[in-house]
Amino acid sequence: MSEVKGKYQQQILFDTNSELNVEKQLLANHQQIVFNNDDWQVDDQDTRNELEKIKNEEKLVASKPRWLWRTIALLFTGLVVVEGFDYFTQGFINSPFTTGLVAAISVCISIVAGASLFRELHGLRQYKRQQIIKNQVSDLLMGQENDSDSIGISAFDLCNKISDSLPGDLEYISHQNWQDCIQAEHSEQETLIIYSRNVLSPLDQKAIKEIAKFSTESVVLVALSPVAIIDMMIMLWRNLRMIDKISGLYGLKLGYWSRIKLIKQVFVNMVYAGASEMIVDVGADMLGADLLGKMSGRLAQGLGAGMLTARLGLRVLKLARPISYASPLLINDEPKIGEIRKAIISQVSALIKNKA
Amino acid sequence: MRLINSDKFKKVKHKATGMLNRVIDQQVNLAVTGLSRSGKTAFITSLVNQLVNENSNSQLSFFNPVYEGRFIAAKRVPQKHFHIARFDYDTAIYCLEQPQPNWPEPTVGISEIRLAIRYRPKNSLLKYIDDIATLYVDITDYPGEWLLDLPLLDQTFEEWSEQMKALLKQEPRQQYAKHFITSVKQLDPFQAPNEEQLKDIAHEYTQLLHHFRYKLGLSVIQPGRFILPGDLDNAPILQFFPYLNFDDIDANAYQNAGEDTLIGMLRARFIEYKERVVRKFYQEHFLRFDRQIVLADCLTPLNKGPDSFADLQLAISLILESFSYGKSNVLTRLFSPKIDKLLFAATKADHVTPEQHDNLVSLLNQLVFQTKKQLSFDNLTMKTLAIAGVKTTTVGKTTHQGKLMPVIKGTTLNDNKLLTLFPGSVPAKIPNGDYWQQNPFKFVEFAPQVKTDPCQNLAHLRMDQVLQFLLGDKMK
Repeated sequence: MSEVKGKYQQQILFDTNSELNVEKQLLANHQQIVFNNDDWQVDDQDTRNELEKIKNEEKLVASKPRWLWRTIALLFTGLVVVEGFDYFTQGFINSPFTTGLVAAISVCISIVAGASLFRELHGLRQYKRQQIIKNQVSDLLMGQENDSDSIGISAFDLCNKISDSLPGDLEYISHQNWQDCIQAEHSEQETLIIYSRNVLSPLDQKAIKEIAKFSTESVVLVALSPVAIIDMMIMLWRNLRMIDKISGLYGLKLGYWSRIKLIKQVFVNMVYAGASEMIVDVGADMLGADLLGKMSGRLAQGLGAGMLTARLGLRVLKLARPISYASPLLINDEPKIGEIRKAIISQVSALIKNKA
Repeated sequence: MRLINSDKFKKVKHKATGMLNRVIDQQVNLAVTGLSRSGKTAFITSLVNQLVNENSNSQLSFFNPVYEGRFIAAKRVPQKHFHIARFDYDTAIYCLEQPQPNWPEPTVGISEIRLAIRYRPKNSLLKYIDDIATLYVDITDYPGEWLLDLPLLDQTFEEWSEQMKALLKQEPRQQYAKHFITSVKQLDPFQAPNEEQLKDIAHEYTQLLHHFRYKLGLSVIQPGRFILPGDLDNAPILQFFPYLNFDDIDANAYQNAGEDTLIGMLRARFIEYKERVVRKFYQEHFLRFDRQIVLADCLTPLNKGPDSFADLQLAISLILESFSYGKSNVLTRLFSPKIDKLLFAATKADHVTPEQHDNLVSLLNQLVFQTKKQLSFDNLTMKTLAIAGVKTTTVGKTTHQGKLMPVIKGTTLNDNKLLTLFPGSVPAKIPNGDYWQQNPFKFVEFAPQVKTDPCQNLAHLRMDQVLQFLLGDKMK
C-alpha cells in the first residue's frame, strides 16, 4: 500500500514540476504568441472577486466546527457505553433479576427507537431526494435554453427517476405511454410537461378522489358529532390519515420538516373546527333556533370543515407532486378546489337523499 | 288534462336546442399565411390529417381536448363557398403516403376545406345546451405568391413604381435588372402606347421576377400574379410594369395623361389589376379571419445569403400590414371579424437538430420584432413556435472527434439518398456580416418520411401545440 501511495505522490510531483517549468519558460522567453480567439476567457476583477467569494463561502461552510460536535458525540457515546458496561457488570453480580429486567427493557426500547429513527431518517432522505428532483424540474422548466448540461441531468432521465420512486403498477403503464408519446425532438420542458400530463395527471385524479372522500367524511362526522372536542379529534385523525395517503400516492413518506409544516396547517383546521362549534352553539342559543336550525347549522359547519380538509389536501398534493404547476403550459392543468367542492356536495347530497 | 304533454315538450326542447346550437355554434376562420415554398400545403394537409385521423396513436399531448379526452372526432364537411375549388387533401395525402413519399404539388389556385370537430365542452356556456358541441374550421389554401399583392391595395401606381425602383437599384436585383431599366428608360411616357412593345417589356419584367424568386430566393415579388397567373395568363391586365423614371417627367403632365398615352395605360392597367384581381382576392378570402398562422421558412434564406434574408423580413412586414388585428367580441365577430390570435411558425424545424429549435424561434422572433411590437398594442395573443407539419428526419447522436454530437437522418429530396448530418447551428439573432462570411449553416432539403403504419397520422413536430393555440380556447 505504501508503494502505491509513493507512486502516486511521485506522479503529482512530476506533474506540477513540468507545469511550473512551462510557465517559467513562457515568462522567460517573452515571445509573441497568438492565441485562438475562442479560447479567450473573461478575467476581470468582478468575476475574480466572485470566484474568491464563492471559495471563501465554501471554506466557511467547511470550517464550521463539525469536529467539535463529532467529539462531543463520540465522548457521549463512550460515556454511555462505559456507564452501561459498569452498571451491568456490577448489577448482574449484586441484583441479577432487576438488572435482567432493565436489560430486557432497554433492548426493547433501543429496538423501537432504532426502528423509528431508521424510518425517520429514511423519510428525511426520501424527502430530500424529492426536493432535489423538484428543484431540478423547476430549473429545467424555468430555463430559457435547453441547458440540461448546467443542471447535469436531462429531462428524460429525471422523469425516469421520478417514475422509479412512484408506487403501484398503474404508473408503469402510464410510463410506457409517456415513452411512446415523447419524441427526440421535444425540448426538455416539453418532455417534462408531457410526463406531467401522462404520468402524474392520473395520480392527481386519484389524489383528488381521495381528498374528496376524506372531505366528505369530515363533513358528515363533524356534522354528526355533538361535542367540540370530538370534532377536533376527528379532524386531526382524518387529516393526518389524508396527508399520509396522498403523499404516499406520489411515493413520498413525509419527512420531518415537511410534516411539521403540514401539521401546522392541520392545527389551524382543528382550531377552526373548535371555534366554529362554539360559534354555532352560541349563535343558535342567541337566536333561539329550534332543532332543525341547529341541524342545518351543524351541516354548514361540517361543510366548512370539509372545505378546509379539501384545501389542506390540495396543499399536500402540490407539495408532494414532483413537477409543480409553475410552468405557463401547465398552469391550466392545476386541480381546482371547485372540482373537489362539486364532488363533496354531490356525495353529501347523495348521502342525504339516500337517508331520506 | 295537462296543458303540454311531455312528448310535445321534449320535441320543442329538442328544436330549441338545435336552433340555439346553430346560433352559438362556433366557427373559426383560419388564415394560413405564408410565402410560396414555406410549406402551406403540407401544413394544411398535416393539420387536417391530425384532426381527421385522431386515434390512440396520435401524438397530440399538448392539444387539450385530446388530452382531456373530450375530443370526439372530426371530419371534412362540404365547404361554404361552392364556386371555390376544394382543397385536394386526398391527393396531398396520397403523395405523402407513397412508398417513396413526395411533397404535394405547389398550389396554383385557391382552394378551401371545412372541418367539423365534435367535442364535449368542459366549462363553457355550451355545456348547458348540449353534451356535444361542434366547431367548424375553415381553412383556405392559396398560392403564397399572391399574398404579396395585398400591400398594393394601399398604393398608387406612382408609389409602387418608386418602391420597385428602390428595390431594383439595389443589389442583388440590380445586376440582373440593368437591361430592363434601360429599356424602360428608352420609352417615351407620353407617346401613344404600342401594345406589342408593352407586352415585350412586361414579359421581360416577368422573367426578371422569375429569376429573383427561383434563382436568388427573394421574397418580395410584386405583382404576384406575374409569376403565377392562374386563369389570367396573357391577359392585358397582366401586361404592365413599374415605370422607373418618375423624376424625369412632370407630375402635372402625369396626372393629366389619358389612357392614350403609355404612362396612362400602365396606370390604368395597374389600377385595374389592383381593383379586379387583388381587391377581389382580398375581399373574398382575407376579410373574415379569426385566427392566423404565419409560416416562415427561415432556413432557405439562411442558405441563400444576406439579401434573401433581408427580403424575407421585408416581405413578412409587408404582408402583416394587410390584416386587421384586435380583440374580438360578439359584435365584431358578427360584423367585422378581427384576428385575435396570431402564431408565428418557423417551419422545417425538422431540418435542424433539436437543440437548435430555440435559436430558430428566437431568430423568427427577431424577424417579426417590429410587427410584434405594434400588434401587442392591440392586445393580441401571439406566440412563436418551431414546427414541422410533416416530419422528414429522425434525430440521433454520433461521436465526432471524441464528442457526442446530435445529428439528423433523412432521405434527401434531390437524389433520394440516406444522409446523416449536423446541418450547423442556426443563429439566434439576425446574422451580420461575420456570420455570412463564415457561413456555417448548410441545410439540405429532405423528402417526407416513409409511413410505416397505415393507421398512423403523419409524423409531425409541435402540431399539437399549434392546434392548442389556434383552436384550444374555442373548444373549452
